[in-house]
Amino acid sequence: MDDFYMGIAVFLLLNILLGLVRILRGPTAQDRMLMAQLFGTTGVAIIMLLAEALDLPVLRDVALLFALLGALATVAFVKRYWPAKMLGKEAGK
Amino acid sequence: MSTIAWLFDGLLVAALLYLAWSLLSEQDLFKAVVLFIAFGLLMALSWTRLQAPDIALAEAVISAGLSGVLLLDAVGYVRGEKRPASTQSEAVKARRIEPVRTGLNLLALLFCAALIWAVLNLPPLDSGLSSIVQAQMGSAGVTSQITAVLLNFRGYDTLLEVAVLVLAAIGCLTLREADQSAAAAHSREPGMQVLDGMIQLVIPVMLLVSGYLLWAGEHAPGGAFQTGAMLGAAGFLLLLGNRMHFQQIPGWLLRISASLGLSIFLLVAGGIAISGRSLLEYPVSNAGKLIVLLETAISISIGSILIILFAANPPSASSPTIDQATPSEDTTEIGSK
Amino acid sequence: MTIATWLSVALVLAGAFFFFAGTMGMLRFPDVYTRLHAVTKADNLGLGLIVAGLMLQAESWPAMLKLALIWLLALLASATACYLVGNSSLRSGLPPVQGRYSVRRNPCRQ
Repeated sequence: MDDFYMGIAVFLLLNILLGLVRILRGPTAQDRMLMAQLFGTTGVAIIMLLAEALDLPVLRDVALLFALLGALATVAFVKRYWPAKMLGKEAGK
Repeated sequence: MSTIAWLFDGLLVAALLYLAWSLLSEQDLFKAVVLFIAFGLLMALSWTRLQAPDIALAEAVISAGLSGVLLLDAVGYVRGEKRPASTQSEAVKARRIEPVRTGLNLLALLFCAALIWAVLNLPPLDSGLSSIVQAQMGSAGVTSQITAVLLNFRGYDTLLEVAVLVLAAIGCLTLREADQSAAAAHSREPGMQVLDGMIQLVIPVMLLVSGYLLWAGEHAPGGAFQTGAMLGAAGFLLLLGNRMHFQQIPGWLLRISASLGLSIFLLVAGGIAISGRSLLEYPVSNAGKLIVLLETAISISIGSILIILFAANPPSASSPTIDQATPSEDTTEIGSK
Repeated sequence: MTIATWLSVALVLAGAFFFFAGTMGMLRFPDVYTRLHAVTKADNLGLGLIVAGLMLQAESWPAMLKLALIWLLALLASATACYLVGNSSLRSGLPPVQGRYSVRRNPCRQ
């Protein structure tokens, strides 16, 4: 069973690495930021699988923290990196 | 170790190396920041794989939350600026500094090789100092070895670390510009109700998890630093969502919360010194209570210091990147790519 | 191998499939708005199935509840992130890619 969970974790890790393609290629900044979100969600899955495969239930706390902070980077992106454009649009209206 | 585990480790290491290389050589700063966030998440995965839950907890909060937010805020200031291109266009300059760069590269490679050689030559089953720590756990006051080392056996290091953090906060506060009226105009941006709703749901859970991490630090992975980082992340979320306004926090509250950890640590150290023991040698019967007190004070301090580091320098009214309605470079990228 | 173990394996495999579907969507969909669906919906469904599979293997009731809580928090974070990215893209004027079945190209099909 441990090998099975580890195998699924390898598969999810490959999925993450495919997401790197989108970070490097993705034409807009939102594409790239979305990948940070993908890393977070898939990271939660990988950590929970590792917790089961390594038989260390305390690692689920790490997954809890990942899930809690999942949106924080995206919120910072929308409020701090992007508003320059939004302010320009709002002022124009 | 099974082949699947080797495959996992190999993929992880290759991904880390590739990410590190690409984010350092990236021209577009925003791309580099997103790669850095991804790198931090993979680092947290690595710590989890190495079965180091305390470090993994800290890395998860710091990479997924704190450093991502700080870097995105910083790169928002420098929108549109590219990293200085490599010196291939300046032929003379390139010829002049080439030997220095090659020399430095060789030095770095040599150092890397020396590190790898040193790691490969470590005795395979050496437990380091953990047997000594194990022997002393009776007088530690807590059951978690890591907390015992951090706050009891090597408490002096932690004291100095907290002092460094307080100094950083003081430095940041002195750099703050006096008038922040532009940042004080908290207009309700359209479409932020979802963010408000999420904040209302998530912040209580964050506070609960902070308390859990603080309590768990005694016997399980957790402790002051993870709690402080979580409190800092909660503060970041409030600041970003316009629920907490940094200018409206009374100055005395800022000062007290930022210096709480250091002051209580110094008081404890002073009290112990007065009673004639050596540096930070807790009396065995009270060690547990002292450690709980110190952990609480340190986590409050770390949380407020992180909030100060993030919020003390909001964009001023004269910041050029906010005022100009620059033509959107990203919508033109769709056509070109 | 008990029923619970087989069920766990099936659920985790289904979850991995949905993660793969999300990744494929993210690579092949034409613009941000469609990729949002792939990343936030498909991945979270995959996460939910994996969590369900792991819950069957958990050692106690609190552990099961913790796993469920992790999934709910991940849902909340993904939903908020998806909305924020979509909203900010729309407001900054990012045009969605018009495809074969869009109303503009086929005006009679309302």
